[in-house]
Amino acid sequence: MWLIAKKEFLLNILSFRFATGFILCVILIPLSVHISIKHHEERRSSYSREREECAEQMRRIYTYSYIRPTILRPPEPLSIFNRGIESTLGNRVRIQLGQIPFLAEGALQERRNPLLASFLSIDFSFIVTVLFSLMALLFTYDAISGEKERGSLRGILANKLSRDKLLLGKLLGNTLTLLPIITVSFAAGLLLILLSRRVEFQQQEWVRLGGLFLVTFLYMLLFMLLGMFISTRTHSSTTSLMISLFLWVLLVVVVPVASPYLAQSLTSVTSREAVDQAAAELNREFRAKVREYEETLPEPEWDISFGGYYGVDGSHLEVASPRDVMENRRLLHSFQEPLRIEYADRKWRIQQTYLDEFLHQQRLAQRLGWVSPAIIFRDIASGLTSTDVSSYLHFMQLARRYRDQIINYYQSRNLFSSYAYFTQQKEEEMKSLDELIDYLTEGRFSTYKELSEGRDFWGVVKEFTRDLPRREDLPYLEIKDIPQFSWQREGLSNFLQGSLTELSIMVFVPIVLFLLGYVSFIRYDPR
Amino acid sequence: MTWLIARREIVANFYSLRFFLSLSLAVLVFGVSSLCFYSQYSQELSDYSRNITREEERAAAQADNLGRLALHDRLLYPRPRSNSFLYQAMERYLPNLFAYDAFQIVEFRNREGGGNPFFPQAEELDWLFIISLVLSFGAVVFTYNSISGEKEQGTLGLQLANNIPRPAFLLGKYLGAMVSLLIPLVTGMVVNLLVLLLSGKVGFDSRLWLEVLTFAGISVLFLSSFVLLGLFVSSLTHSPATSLVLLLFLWVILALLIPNIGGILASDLQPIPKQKEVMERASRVRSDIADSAPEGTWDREEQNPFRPSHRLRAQTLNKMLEAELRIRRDYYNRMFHQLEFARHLTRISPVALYKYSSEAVVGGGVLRFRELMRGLESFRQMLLEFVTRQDASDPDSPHWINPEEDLFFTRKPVDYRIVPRFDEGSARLSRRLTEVTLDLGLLILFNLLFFWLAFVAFLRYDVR
Repeated sequence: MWLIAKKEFLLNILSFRFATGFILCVILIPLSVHISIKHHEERRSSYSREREECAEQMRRIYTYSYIRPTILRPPEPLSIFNRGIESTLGNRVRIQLGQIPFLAEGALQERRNPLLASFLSIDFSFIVTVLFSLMALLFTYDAISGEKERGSLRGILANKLSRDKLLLGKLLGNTLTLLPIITVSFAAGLLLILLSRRVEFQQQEWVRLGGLFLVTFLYMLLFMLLGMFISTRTHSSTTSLMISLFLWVLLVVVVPVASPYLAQSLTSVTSREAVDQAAAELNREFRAKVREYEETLPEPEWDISFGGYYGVDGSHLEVASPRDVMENRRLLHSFQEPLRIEYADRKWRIQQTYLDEFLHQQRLAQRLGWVSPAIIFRDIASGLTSTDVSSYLHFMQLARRYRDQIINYYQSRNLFSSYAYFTQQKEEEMKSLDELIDYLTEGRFSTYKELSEGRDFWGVVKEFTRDLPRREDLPYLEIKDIPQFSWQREGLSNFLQGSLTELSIMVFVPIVLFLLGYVSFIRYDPR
Repeated sequence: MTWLIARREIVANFYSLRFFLSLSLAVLVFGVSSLCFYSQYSQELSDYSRNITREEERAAAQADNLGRLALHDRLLYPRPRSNSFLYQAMERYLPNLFAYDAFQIVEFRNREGGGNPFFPQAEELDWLFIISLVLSFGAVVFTYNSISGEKEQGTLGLQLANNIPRPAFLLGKYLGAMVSLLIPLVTGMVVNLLVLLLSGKVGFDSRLWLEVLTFAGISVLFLSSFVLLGLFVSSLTHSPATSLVLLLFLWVILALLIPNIGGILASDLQPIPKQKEVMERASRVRSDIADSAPEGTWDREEQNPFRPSHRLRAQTLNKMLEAELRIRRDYYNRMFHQLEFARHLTRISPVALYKYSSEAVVGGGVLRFRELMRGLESFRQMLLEFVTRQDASDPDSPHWINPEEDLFFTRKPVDYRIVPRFDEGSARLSRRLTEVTLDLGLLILFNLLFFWLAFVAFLRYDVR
């Protein structure tokens, strides 16, 4: 067996196909890794900058209602090997009370030229799926049929060599030929990563990279065994070559494109516009309920606000408004914010159904794609490099959990019904409108009524130099106990659980192919 | 003589496994493509009609105030193309939703929900995909042993010992391979068209037939380039195994790598700023203009629209918009230049040339985006002229056309039926011809080059 393997190995490494394949891999793989490293570095620096901006934003808040942190998912270092869908989906989520994290943002803003989307991205795993599978077939398509055609098969089997040993020897020889190509390709990629110094690999990344190497090997082994099986089914190397090549085009080129296309045709998804419309309808209903409640509140004598600022999602600052206005706002918030959360839940039910439809479609495409080892490889590689759908969903899940923590933070401290939610004024410091007028006009007018009679109210107020504090004069809120978001990548066990079917196919199909090849070879007529 | 060789080649191919496999694969993939297209196109049409109706309703609701109507952000949804079964031109990933008002094209972006966000970016199963990847692969398989195989079998020497000129022999081989390849191509196309015709969903008019025929013509030219490349490589080597390996790797480079590498290389070699940075710059320029505006500009007294500060504000806001548009136009130009640069880098591949020519033939992809931008800009100017005309006839209007506030020009209602509407139409023929010239010319040049190389290599070929 070793002799056969050695002969096969020596013949292979001296062949033109080995030289061409090797040169191509040695050029293309470092090139793709180099480009991916640059891409990763750029995303990494964008991430750091944005993270700084988000932290700064959180430092510059005036009231509790402004606690709307933006969370970011850091770019995956292993996306250098497989970009997956990580860069096409967003990595940023703004935590809001009125919206449960639905789809992440940020992918578009990072883009430089949207027209370049007409080009597909090429990465390490793309080159592996195409080149390695092609090479594996080119090395094995004539393993048996070629020997028979040359007449050497009969000669070999006339000796005391069992057929299983011949088959194993051939497999071993071809494996020994192709293994250095994989190893050199990975080594070249790793060298570039180590030289770049800006890509940080932790222990887990090395483990995952080891997994990727193993899966790459299994992928190539699968195609080698497919080639050998075809070779044992035919008696001419041309026939086995044709079958191998057409099967390759079907499995590596056609099925990966056809399976999502087919899944999209077989299952329909509600249009995004319909989902947005339903959400907008709920928003309108929410606002109507708030207005309705507002009408039931005791009205302030004069609804005048000195420095009232309103932002999105109920963020609100009242700098120095009269006591009754403050009370009105407090009551409104204590009703409005829990209702906002309730409506977010109702919107989420619609949005979740929409997401589930997409996921169902994606799973269907995945299952249809199980006939193609290229898709299986890509799925496993995406899982290993955390650039797959599951990693994205995990991030969104964490975002939703974090939102729950923020809500819990508000609720446990009764912040929605507190003044602190929208103002920095202490209750005991609050003044009535008349007291404020008296203060502002330095005693010239003691009531609002007196001041506003036949005069332009704001015009008179502006005449006085004595001013109430402005927003710019207010200190930022120092809150140390706000829950912090921490990104935790899905563990390897989750990956193994999620990719069990794909991994099983990757392991068992080569075994089945070997057995089929073996049975076929036993019945093979070497004459 | 040429025809005799071609006929022999066709007959030999006709009974071969590769012909059977090519034909089966072509029919299967063309068939699946038509069925999927039918279902998706129906869905797209119904989504489109729903979106258009909603947009019309939204715009009509603003017609009680012309000023508001002029500032109303309208959304333009490009119409699903009936010829997209030929080539979808990556429109799913390109900006395919435009927001505009009478003063500017506010933004363009990729429509959310236009496709499943959980699918990795990939090609579509259209005619172009099938021809550029499946049938070009077929061309490689049909030609890799055209010369080297004959030599290996020893038949080349025998044939050329007769009175057969080498050019005639090469031409015969070329014709034989082309006809063998055209049978799966035409059969697949016919199957696809039959399904679409029977479905009745796609309206086949003379324009669409013309597009189908032109597309088919370019496809033949494209396949011819791969057949000639195959003949060239086969004439270079003395063993079919060597020519096959060489051809397969060349195919991977020309069909899979080069057409897709342009984007990455162009971003690296000719970088442009991020959209976010451009918007930040525009915002800074706007703030500078706002800060240096004459005193009183920002006094808002809405009860009296004739107050002079409103005029100042209208002037300042127009100036701010102009400055922002200048920055955005500059960015768009750089965007187009970068794309053109990326395309130039990939024009060494016949597959890329085939894609760009097909894009012009079907009037889709980037060409459509450009045309939409141009058309929308003209339409926007027309809409503004309409609003200005209406405003001029309103004695209650101060005629201070303001790109952000609707209070200071006419607020009269308008009959929505007389408001201009945008009609996308399809790209003009002259524009398509201009676009296709370069790529088609290069594709023809590739054919001539490969034929010449094959001819020279075969003339020097040692047939013994």
